[in-house]
Amino acid sequence: MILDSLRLLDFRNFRELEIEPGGRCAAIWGPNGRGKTNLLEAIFLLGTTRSHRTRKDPELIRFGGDVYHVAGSYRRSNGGRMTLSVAYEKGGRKKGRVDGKEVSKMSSLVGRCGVVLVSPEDVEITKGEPERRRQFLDLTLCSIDPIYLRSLQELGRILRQRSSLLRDTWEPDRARMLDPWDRQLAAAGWAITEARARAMEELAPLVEEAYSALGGGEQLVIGYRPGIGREPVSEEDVLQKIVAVRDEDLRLRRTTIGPHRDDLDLELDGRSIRAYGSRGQHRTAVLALKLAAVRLMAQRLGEEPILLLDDVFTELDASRAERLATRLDGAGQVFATGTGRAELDRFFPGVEHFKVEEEGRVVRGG
Amino acid sequence: MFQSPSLEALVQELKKLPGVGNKSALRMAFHLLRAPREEAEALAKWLVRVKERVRLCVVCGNYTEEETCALCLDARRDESLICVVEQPSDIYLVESTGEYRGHYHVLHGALSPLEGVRPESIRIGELVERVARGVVKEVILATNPNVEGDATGFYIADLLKETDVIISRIARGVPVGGELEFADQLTLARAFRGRRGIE
Ligand SMILES: [Zn+2]
Repeated sequence: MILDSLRLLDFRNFRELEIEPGGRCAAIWGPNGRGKTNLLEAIFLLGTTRSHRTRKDPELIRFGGDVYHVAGSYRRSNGGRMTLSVAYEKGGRKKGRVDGKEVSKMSSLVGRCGVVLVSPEDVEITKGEPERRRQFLDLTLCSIDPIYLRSLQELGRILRQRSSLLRDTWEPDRARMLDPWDRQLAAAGWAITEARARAMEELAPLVEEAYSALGGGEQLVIGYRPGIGREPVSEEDVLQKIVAVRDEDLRLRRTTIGPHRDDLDLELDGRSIRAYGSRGQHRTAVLALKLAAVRLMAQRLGEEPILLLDDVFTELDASRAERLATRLDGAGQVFATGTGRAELDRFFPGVEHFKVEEEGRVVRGG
Repeated sequence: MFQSPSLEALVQELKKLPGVGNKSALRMAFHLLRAPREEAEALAKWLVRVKERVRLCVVCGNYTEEETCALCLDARRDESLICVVEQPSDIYLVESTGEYRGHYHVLHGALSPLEGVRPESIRIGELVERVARGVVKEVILATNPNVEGDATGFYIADLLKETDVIISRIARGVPVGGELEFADQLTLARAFRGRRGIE
């Protein structure tokens, strides 16, 4: 997918902006604090309906504005065109459009344009809490599988309803009351567990290969650890496991098993990267995961996603950065931010330049 | 904002209606202000009248002005079939498919511990009593295809497990996570034909 034009109105620090990238690689550079990341955030928002930095849409409206608009016009590899737009008015509901037509649910926008973003905070995927690894998987899977996205939304609702029951100690017949929620937890839990397991089977070899291609000397092995217990085999099996821990759940007043407890195991030559990884190893592992996600999305969507690299090159040593630049096949278009023109020029010869100047102005060519 | 407290109050009241924001409330208020007096009076009359006269059918919970609604009294309808819906408006959706000739039961809600909606808060007890009278042979669960609607369906199915009635759920042709309201007529009609037993 190629983003031909991006238009912003009252989005973050941009009052009104239109840029026309169009080429395979675009470099966005300029001093820090001028909103380079905000441009990537807008492209990410069009692909996923949300910002990667906040869940609060009012924060995305430019100071003094009432409504933000973000619109992108895209070109598919077969030449087909598409426009996507998202608008949010203070106090209102977020609205999305595909080819000018308003969608009834924002979720139907997800995956129209696949995006993979790499930001400095992503080091938490390999270093941080399990939640960060689940988010990585969810972000990848939601774009390629609308049923997964729906199951995930249902799971969230089921867990909130269930914990409300678990906390309600006044309820005399909690087992009977839990039953309808447990059956649904089993259904959604099984659907999500199965989808994650299947995706991990496809991702694992891609991650391993990307890690060594990026110059990591070790072998990176990634495995899936379902929170529903070892090797669930069916929805009934999952339901049995949920019912078996019901008393425990009632005592602790929370749902102790389910996909909300999933984790990924990441090992470098047999040692947990989370516990023993160096800075460089974490950085390379995160890039390997993201490049694998790009490949998986390209395979499943039949269209290469857009890769957004936020401040990645400043953080990498020269040899890894070079290897990364040569491994961007599989991505339809790449946007990379940096503070200087030279560092981006080095890795992407022939890249289009966009220089972010003061007060949200962007100059082409720079 | 206005020099008229009455206009201000009207706008405030209109804004309480579902899906009505500031803009639409203003548009409606100005429309009524410009409209002939009779139009405003008719609206006011019917607003009061529905509050006075409309009540719930003692059998099915549908809106009616009699004790029992016309659907429940219609002898041509099959009383061995009961279709369970969340809201009276769902009856009109099912009726519009032309696929169903049985009776209804309106729950007036769905189970939701988060919002404090318990089995006693909705008309589940009345349904169990109706079934206990013995005429009913099949109960079709047409609650909304979202987690609350499904939970309600499972709960009812469990309560009726010991009886002889067949319990079916209309097939999930209706978009999951949506509401019955958004299912188009054709999908709903298909759902009625394709309903399956619930284990
Ligand atoms: Zn009735």
